[in-house]
Amino acid sequence: MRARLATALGAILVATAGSALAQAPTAAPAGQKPILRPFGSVPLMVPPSSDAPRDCDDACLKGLAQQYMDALVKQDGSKLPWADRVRYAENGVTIMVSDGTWATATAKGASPLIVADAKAGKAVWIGSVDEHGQPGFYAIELTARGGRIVSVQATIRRQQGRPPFGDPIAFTHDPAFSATVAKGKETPRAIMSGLVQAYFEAQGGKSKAPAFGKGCVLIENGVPMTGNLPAAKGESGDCATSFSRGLFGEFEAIRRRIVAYDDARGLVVVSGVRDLPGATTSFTGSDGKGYKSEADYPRSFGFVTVFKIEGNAIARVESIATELPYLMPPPWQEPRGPRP
Amino acid sequence: MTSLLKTFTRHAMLAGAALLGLAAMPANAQLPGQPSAVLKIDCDRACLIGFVRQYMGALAKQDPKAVAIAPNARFTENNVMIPVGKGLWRSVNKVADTGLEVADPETGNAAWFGVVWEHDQPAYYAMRIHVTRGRIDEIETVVHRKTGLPAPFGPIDKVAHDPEFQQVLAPTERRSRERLIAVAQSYFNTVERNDGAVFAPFTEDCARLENGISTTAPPPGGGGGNAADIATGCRNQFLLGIYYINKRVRERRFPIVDTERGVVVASGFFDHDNSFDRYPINNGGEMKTALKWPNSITLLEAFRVKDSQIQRIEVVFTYVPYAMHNPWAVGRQYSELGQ
Repeated sequence: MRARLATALGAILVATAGSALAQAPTAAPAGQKPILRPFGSVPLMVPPSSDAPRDCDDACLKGLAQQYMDALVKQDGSKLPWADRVRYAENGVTIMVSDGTWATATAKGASPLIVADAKAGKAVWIGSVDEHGQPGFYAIELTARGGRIVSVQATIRRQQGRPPFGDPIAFTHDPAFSATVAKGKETPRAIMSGLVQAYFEAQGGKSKAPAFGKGCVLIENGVPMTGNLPAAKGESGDCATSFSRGLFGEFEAIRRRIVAYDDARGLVVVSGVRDLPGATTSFTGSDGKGYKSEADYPRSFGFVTVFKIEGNAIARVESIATELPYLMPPPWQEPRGPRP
Repeated sequence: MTSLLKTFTRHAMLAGAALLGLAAMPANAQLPGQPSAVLKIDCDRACLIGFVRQYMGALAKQDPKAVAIAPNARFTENNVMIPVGKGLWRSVNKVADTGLEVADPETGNAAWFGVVWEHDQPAYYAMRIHVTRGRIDEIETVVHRKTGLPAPFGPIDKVAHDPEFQQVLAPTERRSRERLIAVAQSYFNTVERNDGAVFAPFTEDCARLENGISTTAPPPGGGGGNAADIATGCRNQFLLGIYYINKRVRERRFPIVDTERGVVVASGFFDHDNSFDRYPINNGGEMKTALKWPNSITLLEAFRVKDSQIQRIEVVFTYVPYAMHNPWAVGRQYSELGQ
């Protein structure tokens, strides 16, 4: 009875936060009918698809992602073009569409970042959603075949929990993510892939860091980061510094896969889980100095990260990450990601 | 041969074949789920409690080799299967001297509830082990840390495991394994979308400890910051319907039953879909949910049942992603229910 306790226990949180929420029961205003009690979610049921499958290019995939998010905040997925068999997961757990965030989301951020990759059949939407008036960072990886949605994986980071957690409403994606590269000067996928993999290999201490562009910053949940910790006041979250100092020394493993490329804008989206064993309270950086570990108990973080590549360097990195039980496996094995 | 004789002969041949089929069945076939018609207990209660204490001692030293763990043992921490020696094994630096200990020689399972420390930070901890042929082959654990999410976290210097759990019941106060499980089920049935209907029988002095703190009686002076501030006692809270937030009590299992002491240890999840963020309760008031988003809690919960009534409850629980699955919930073993 735990989160049941959580209701009353909310008193602990509420009192600490100084919220005006009344936690003890309050009398309903006189004459006002009690709020009807909903009786739980009903599985989404739709008839089998009848029209012929269609090709879905980048524009079509972006449209699907936008349709999906519009349906999500209306809490009605019945009009979406679902495949006959669909997989759906939130924060690594498979659930039915109509459950989870389908029952709580009521609004979405106005300026998401959308990445579509027709070669992979994927669209990624990164922004925020609002659940009962509380905004959170939100990303989906939508897979489509023949114009029909075959799977969606959602990563959601809500306010409660450990830092970093910035302001999902105020946060805006760096304009660099929207800028297109001059035609003919796109970075080949093989190079983009190499840079991104080198990034993660370097986080794991296995190789040198990739090249970073001037002004590259790491942003996680809307907060500039220095290594695995929010940047100190006045620090920008400079990419190169975190790596040159070896500030990811407490990472045990970074399980990841490339989800999508946007060749025109030089973007790479990666989904994964990083594991922190919490075995020690400090680690030694590559600069020889001791640093406090962020994780004081074993845990993992599910993430969606988008990289901006300019030329042969990583120019920007933005992530959404949420805490998961240590070593939690993915909800299903995705096929190997799009080839560079 | 006349046609009647042919028919008779054919039927006789079929019956004979059936008899032969019966005779050909494996000689050791028994009730489903039971390997033998006679259960040979090779680890009695004292033996199982011994393994529990050895396990906790090995954990405190971060040394899995200090206790007999089978090479193919399966180990979960908060519902994730991980190798023995990882997870809490690497962060723990101390365990409490005593805990709530429960054992079930019939199933070979035992449990421990108490406090551990990771880098000197306390955490509430519950575990179930299973012992086969002198070695631990299953370890199921729930660890609750202070993470900032709204959940009880009792003062560790005041944790007291109720001695009632260890009292052997008079024969007239005992109930069968099946009845004890049914009583524990009735508790979960009461919790699930709690609307004021109370299916579980409680003693007048029923008391519940959650992550080390009483949630049925406020501390002296009040202000415990939990359900006990709203109503005291096990039954009164349910009559009000304050636990309506619990949409489902899922993957319920009952791996440990001690009929001598009337103790059942259960495992399961409480799912909070939070499709609403407030609800009316039966005194005309309204409860607001502390979290606005779907979440689940995973738990190991011990019930002490005396004379068919729930007298004491002690539970360790923690938050996990909504609708997370427990790898141990794979079938009808341990009276597991569906969902």
